[in-house]
Amino acid sequence: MPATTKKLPWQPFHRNDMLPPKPPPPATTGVLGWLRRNLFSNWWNTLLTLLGLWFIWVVASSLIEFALIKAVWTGEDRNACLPKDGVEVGACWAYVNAKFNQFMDGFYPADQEWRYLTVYAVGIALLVPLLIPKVPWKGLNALLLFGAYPVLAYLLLYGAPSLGLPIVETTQWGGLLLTLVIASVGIVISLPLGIVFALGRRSQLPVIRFLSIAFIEFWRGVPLITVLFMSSVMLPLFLPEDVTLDKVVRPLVGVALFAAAYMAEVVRGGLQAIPKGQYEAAQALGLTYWQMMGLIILPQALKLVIPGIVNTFIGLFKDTSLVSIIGLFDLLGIVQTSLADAKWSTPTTAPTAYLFLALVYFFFCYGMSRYSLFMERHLHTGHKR
Amino acid sequence: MSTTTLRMQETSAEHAARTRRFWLVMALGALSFLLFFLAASSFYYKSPTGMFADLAGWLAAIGAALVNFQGGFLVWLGRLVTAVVNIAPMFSLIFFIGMGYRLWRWVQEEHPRPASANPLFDRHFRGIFSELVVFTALAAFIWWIVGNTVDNLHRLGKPPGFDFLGATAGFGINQVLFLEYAETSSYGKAILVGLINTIVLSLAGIVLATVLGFIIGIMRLSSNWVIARIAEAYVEFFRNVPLLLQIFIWYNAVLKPLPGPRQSLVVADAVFINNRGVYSPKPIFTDAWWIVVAAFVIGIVASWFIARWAHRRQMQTGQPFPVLRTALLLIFGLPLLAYGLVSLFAGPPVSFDYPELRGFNYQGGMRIIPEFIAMLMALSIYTAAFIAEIVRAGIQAVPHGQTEAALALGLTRGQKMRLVVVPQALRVIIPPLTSQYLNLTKNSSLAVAIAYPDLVAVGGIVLNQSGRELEIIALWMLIYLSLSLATSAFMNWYNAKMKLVER
Amino acid sequence: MSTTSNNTSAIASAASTDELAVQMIDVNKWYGEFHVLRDINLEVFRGERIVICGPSGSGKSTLIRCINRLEEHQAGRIIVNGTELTEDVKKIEEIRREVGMVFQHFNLFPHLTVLENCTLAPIWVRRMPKKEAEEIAMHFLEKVHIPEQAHKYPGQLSGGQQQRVAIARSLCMQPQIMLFDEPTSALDPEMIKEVLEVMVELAETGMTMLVVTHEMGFARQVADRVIFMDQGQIVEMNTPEEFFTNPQSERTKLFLSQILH
Repeated sequence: MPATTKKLPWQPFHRNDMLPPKPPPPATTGVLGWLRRNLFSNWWNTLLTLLGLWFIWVVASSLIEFALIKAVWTGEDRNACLPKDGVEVGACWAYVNAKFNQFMDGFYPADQEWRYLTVYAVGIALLVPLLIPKVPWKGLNALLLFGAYPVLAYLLLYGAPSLGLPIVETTQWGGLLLTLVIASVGIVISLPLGIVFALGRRSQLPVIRFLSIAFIEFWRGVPLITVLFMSSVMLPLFLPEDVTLDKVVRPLVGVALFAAAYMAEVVRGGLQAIPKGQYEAAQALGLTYWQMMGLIILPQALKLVIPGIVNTFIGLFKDTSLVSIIGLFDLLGIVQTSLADAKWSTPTTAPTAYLFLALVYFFFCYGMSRYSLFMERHLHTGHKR
Repeated sequence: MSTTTLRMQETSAEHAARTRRFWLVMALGALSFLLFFLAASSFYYKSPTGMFADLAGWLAAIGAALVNFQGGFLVWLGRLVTAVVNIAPMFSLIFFIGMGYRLWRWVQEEHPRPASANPLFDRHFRGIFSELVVFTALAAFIWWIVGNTVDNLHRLGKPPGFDFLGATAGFGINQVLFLEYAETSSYGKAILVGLINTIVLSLAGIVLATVLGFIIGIMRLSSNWVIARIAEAYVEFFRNVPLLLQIFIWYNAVLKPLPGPRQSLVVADAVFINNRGVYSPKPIFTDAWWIVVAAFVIGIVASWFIARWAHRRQMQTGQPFPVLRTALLLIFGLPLLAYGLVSLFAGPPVSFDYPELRGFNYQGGMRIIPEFIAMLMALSIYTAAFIAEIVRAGIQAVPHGQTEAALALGLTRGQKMRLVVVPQALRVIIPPLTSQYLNLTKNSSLAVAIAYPDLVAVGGIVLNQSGRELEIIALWMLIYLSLSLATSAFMNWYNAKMKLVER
Repeated sequence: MSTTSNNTSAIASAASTDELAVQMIDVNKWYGEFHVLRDINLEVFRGERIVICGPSGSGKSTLIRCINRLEEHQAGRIIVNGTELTEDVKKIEEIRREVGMVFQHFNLFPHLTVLENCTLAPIWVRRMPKKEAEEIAMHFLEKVHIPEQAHKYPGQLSGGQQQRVAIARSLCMQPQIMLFDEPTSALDPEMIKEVLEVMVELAETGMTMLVVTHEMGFARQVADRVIFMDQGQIVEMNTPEEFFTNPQSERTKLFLSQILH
């Protein structure tokens, strides 16, 4: 043992028996600790908490009172929803109930409703397994959904006299049906188109790059409503005299091109995020440009930008409501039109209708954004940059 | 070995290849010119002779348009644009000439290794060739469309042109700012009024959305759980409901059910709120008002100088100076002082015209139409949800280590935010924020749904009255497009300037 | 429940507070249910160099981060420079001014040049004229051997250079105590040396230093005391000679056998 001659102001120390862990002071853990940390850590925080709770109470209670407690659920006409004995009533669900069919499909013949319901059913049956990562046969599934399903949907929705399905003109389509048709066609067209323009924008060939940039910046630079005006009044002018375009197809063209430009920018973001090494590795393997893009780069890039793609889908879905301005009866359009019906004219009709609309749109958009969050976590495989 | 020696040693085989390449390019060039003239003449001008006649005519038209100033600026601009558009196919000549130059360079170019004997397998040649094909096809398609349109318009008896902008509008607009407008004014004037309304609405919306968005975004980062959840609910709800629906809600479900003028909500006996809008006292300024304005301007300018001086002094001596308090005092105190002095010596420099209930409506005062309020509320609340997310992401993008380092150096929490977190967060926030501003501006076009007289709504009326779809839509797009392009040019400049220097 | 029989707090009274840079008395801290610091008692004398080592998750970083209140302790007392750490924001800022810290990941401000990184705190916290702050900054940048990089941005420097800037940045505040939180763990081997050299030079100036590190060579060369921590407690504390040649506790022996191979 070496003798220490230096005088230390402290004493050497060691322990062989370790201290056992002790539970934390009760005020810092459990529900109480959580409350204290997150809600009542000081007077300012406490004040905020109380204000917040009060705000939530005010909003939630008035909403519940309007939508549930004071609501009118049944009735034949406006008399059911008028103030009774001077007391205002809440939401007039009787009105939504009476108009429900119209809200769902516009003026689709009642005896043909099974047709679009079948389209919905087949669509869900094909879409759900595609969205759940664990279900196998993705390739076949996608082929059916994007190859066979559109044909089926067209035949059923529009009709084919040779198959015994009377034609239902698109002018009779409306409500949620029309909204879904425009949104899904827009989504299906805009994604591949967006990818093409994203690749074009990153191309080595100056002319192709310039044309892609011009396309993308043009559509991103103008408001959708002007695009819709253009497609509804100018598309007929663009075509030779004897060609006519269906009234529903016109805005579809506009919506799809518009969404494609936004999609292209999202995809470009993904392409830029792929490390250069991936391109070099693919080229070193002797892949051609299209093989490299299709097999190596795009799968990774698209995976990276799923949130952006879904956000574009959500935007497109919300934007379909704009077709009501150019005179189509989509969900928003038909509800807005039904508000003019004198039979149901009451003070609460409009708020009820808008609450109903808000719930429907929120259901679809929020659902999509939750799904994208889920996929983002599921696919989180790499490339931390 | 340098390239010059390579050139010296060009073998006869290589020389033959170069010659082959040269003739191939010549043939290709001739073919593409032929294609170009064929496409232009058949799809656009309908016949070769028509093309040359048209060209001469439109060149003359450009000359005429340049010197003819009658009918106001918009009409003049319109004439010029029409004339220029009509020789559009000629502009694609520039492209062909450019391509020819590139091919020529390709022939002249010194390749480090011999080019493929068959030019069709040469990467460079393939690139140029595919571009030529794409462009020719596209140009033909566009000429086809333009040709159809011109045909159709002539058949409908309304040849394209912007001269109609000079015609009398004949309709009233319920919100006219900064301009004098009457039903007898021209279409062009009406559209200008619409443009100003768009700009006013957008600016107001941008200010409100920014304030609201920053508040919500910071709330989402709050350590207080309740506050963070409220902000999250706000963002999720308003982002996931279409803006158009929100506009309808504000207009039809909130503002319309307000009581009529006779039962107006009254604020401070001066502001009256009813279903026809908000009526507030209208200030009427006397000549002495400029003194107050000048005091305000002086306050701002002085504050700016004081801020600079204070910064310099702190850098020199280390002494801080309460800049914010001084500036506030100057900016608000000076005008107040001026107001007081002017009132004392020359009487109040401003008087108010109070709105009065006459008959069924209020007269006088200042009226803010309900359409404006509905648009403003819907636009700013909707956009604020997106801005909140941008702000949150921006602040979260600053690593926690930065905060720790700043605190460990002894900076106060305010200094930490101002000197370390905010400058870094802003780099992340500004670009998407700008694009949200643009979105808001473009979304203000939804005003047409509730007839707020913005650019699109007024344009729509003109379109219906004059039947000039093409011109009106082109005008809309041109205006919005130039706004967008100017903004993105600014954004690129800002990004380049603010990019963090890295290896 | 306390093990005062061999607890260092017994000697706390022996030293006068003037000589003490840091005093920790029965400090306890939990992350949720996890007991991360257990009954820590430690006195750091002025001018002392202490190296703290231990396996990852032993609480050594948390310990020094409690000293400038980047982490909050939940029980016990911490007195730095004669000022006790409480909720009082002003006192916390006062202490942070006198305590410099160097982080594992440098945490330089990427939007400021090296020089601006160094002058930021002296200008805004010490209220120093810019020119003086810059002179001091250049002085310390010379001390860490990179005056020529003063006008570059942190992103343009190598890891070792960045860490040396971080040291200079802390020194510009002319602190009385320096904390080092694994300053070389994020560096490539060839850069560790240049940073350690700077730290050794700093130690020779008589700075009070608390260093969390696994660089045992550094500990041998400059430390007055080596502390070994495990499971949130101080397991062994001794002079470097004794600590390395004659470890007392089983855990220390095991740790040393693992780390010295």
